[in-house]
Amino acid sequence: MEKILVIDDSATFRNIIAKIFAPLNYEIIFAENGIEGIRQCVNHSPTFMTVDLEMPVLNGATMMKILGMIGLEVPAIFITGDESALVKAAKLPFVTAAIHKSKIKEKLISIGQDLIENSTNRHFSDFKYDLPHREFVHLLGKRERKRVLIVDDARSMRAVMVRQLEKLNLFEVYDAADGREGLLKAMMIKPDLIISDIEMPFVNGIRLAQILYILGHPFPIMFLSASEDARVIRQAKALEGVTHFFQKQDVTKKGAEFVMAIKSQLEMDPKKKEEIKRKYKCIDINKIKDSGEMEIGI
Amino acid sequence: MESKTIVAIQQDEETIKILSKLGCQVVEAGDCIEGLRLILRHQPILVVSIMKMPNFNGIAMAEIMELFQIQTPIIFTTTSVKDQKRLNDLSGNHGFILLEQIQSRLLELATKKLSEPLKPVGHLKYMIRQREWADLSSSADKKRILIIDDSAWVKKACMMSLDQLDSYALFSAKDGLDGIIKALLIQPDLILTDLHMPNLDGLAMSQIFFVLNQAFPIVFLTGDTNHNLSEKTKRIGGILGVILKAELRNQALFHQKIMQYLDDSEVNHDEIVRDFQKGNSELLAENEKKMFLEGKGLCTPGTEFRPGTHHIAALRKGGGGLGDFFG
Repeated sequence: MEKILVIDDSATFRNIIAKIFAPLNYEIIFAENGIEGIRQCVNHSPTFMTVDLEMPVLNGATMMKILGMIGLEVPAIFITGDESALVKAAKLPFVTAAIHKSKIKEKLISIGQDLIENSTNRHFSDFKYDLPHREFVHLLGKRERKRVLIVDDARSMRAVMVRQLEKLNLFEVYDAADGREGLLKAMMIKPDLIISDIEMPFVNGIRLAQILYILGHPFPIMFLSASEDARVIRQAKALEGVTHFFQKQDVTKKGAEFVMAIKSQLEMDPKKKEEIKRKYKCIDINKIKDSGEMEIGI
Repeated sequence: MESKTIVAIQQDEETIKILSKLGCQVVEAGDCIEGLRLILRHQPILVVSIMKMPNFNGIAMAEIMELFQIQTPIIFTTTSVKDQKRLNDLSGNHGFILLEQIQSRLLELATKKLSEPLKPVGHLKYMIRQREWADLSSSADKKRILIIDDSAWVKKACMMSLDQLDSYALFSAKDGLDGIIKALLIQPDLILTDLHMPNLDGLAMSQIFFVLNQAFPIVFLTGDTNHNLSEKTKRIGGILGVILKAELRNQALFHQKIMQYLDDSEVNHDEIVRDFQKGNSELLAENEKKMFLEGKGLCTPGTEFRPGTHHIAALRKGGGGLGDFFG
């Protein structure tokens, strides 16, 4: 079933666009904000989408950036009321066209037709997945132990933690070298706990947690950070799913405490788990706002 | 807690006592299926296993380990010197010991095996299609169906047909090996697989899933109307039934069957899981002569040993196998 996704915070506008596309005979699906937009993209793989550039909290450009981070390429038509943003928006990756709100009646349908004609059957581009043999063997066996995913860009830190935790022989340990890999691996292995560094290039720990929230994956996250910056800590704690915060320098010093913290996370009360799940189901866009720094301008 | 482990399969108390002198935790298994599962669970540094066992023996276990590039050395215990030549068919660095030598030589042999370095194994590099990637990222509760067929045409026909329903997340793989990896990564709710495929065929794959204790419900897709598959295979709980390729032409019927099988697998889920958990090797024996078990590997004691007829042997000859997946 081929689909077109229309993302706009105004219901009136969504209806106008749907009417314009009606002659194409595609199923039209909607999203009211950026988070819903991303979820719809992931759930339905639309042929293309129209994106309102100006949306509260998570604007169109940020949305595209997040889709890029998780490796999804859905062609987009940007719609904006801001003349000066038009040129810049058209240059963003995967943006096919950017048009002004006042011109949609004339232009939108023909751009849509072009996209459908040129769509390469739902744009199959392959994604490379890289798994160390140790982790592959974990996957071969039946899932009997809890899974812990370690995300840290410092190789030595990662190696130490993997070795220490594997030694306990209590959980399956997986690791990822940055936030993006962590994100991809998390969706594949569905960990019971993510232990993540905060300061990492490109997709940092906070972004990682934000994106998991946006996609609706309620994996508990424990942050590990060298930061003593109160703002970072406050932001990290504002996120849904973040259950614990541990100072990096304490990992080796207070090893036993660290392991206890992991254990207590893994033995979380099922009721609490259900509650987190429920919170991820409904979308609270302000959760993203409180944790800050998501917005990018264009 | 000690992190280093030795897995001992069907060994007596004396042997265990000797092994515990090596300063490792010794984990015991009653047969090779349980043994293989413990190997996956503990990733031991050494395995000491009986070679001959009914239905699923030590060599078969070693072959599956090789298939997945698990390099742990195995010391086989047996009663006959003749059995040593079986090791020639394995590429790993394995050892061999007669039962009467255990007292005198086991400790020395084990120490030697432990001191030899293992070949490093690369990373599994695996490609996932973007559409599949999107389905993996999704938190919507769609049922996942994995379609395995070496014919691109049949695969596409199935996918396009099911895609119209718009209610499943669809994944595909090109043969049994590819299917195993993908199934492990995506955890499908149903596997629809061709029977005859190069590398690893549908039945062999289903048996490996059984040995690994991965309880995926499986439906076979075949063009052969004369099969008596249901008779042979229905004892393994995960195998739900057969769809004929000709039935693909009738879309409504095909859709209905898929829905029925998904329901079946849900209703019987607990039973399937229990069945797999028990890992009764007799279930493999039922199929023994005809399938994967044919040939050298999984044969019963006393049967003649004929190399070259085995699926995995064929794999090795063709240079295929999981080795290609590991960069």
